[in-house]
Amino acid sequence: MKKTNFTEKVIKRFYGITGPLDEYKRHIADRIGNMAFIYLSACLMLSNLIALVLAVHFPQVMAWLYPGFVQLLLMGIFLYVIIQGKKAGLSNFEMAELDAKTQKQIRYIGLKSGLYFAIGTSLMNPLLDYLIDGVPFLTNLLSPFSLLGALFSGLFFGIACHVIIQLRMRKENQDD
Amino acid sequence: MNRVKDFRTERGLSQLALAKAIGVARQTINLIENDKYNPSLDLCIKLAETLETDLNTLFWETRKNQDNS
Repeated sequence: MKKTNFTEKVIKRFYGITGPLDEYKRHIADRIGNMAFIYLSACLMLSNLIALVLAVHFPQVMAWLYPGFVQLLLMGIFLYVIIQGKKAGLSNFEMAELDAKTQKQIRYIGLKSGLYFAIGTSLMNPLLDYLIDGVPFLTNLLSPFSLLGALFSGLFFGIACHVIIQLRMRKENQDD
Repeated sequence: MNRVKDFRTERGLSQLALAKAIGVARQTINLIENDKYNPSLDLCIKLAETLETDLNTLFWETRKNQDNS
């Protein structure tokens, strides 16, 4: 199996490609990526111009509104990438195509994702509370409410990841 | 229409086996066989080598026959 370089790993992770990143998948990923970049550039240029004009008169409003708008725009672009990728079958894969190591990783990916999400949430929420509201970090980190919240969110995320992976496994019949 | 499927079945290979032999996804082989994707010259050469034939026979002979008919 050919070794993947860093760029290929990033592309595979971004587009949710499992298995070989062959020329067809690369071609589709490039096409989707190019269009997403064009839409993003156009929207950002226009929104920057509007934000610049409005910031002169409403600086405090724009300080909240503009990051929120950019976040919505990014979510829209990610949704476009997901929809186009799904249409082209970019993220579909078959277990038989994968090597033994990847097959083993796929089986436990829900568990791993849920665990990382739980750890990330348990650290991020107290940190944000400390930065925004000044709530003491350690007290918040070790509170049962915070830990339970992180546990349940990790569990939910892990189950969701597992279900998505199972749905992505194509059960096509071999076309012989 | 190319003759990838004909040569593949003659050699007793599944789509997955052919895909693994040349380092692409099975989906790509399926798309090539159904004329939904035009492979690069590099991939065409790998296909011809793996299926033990030449590019003309694999990809262009059928089109030449269709154009002449």
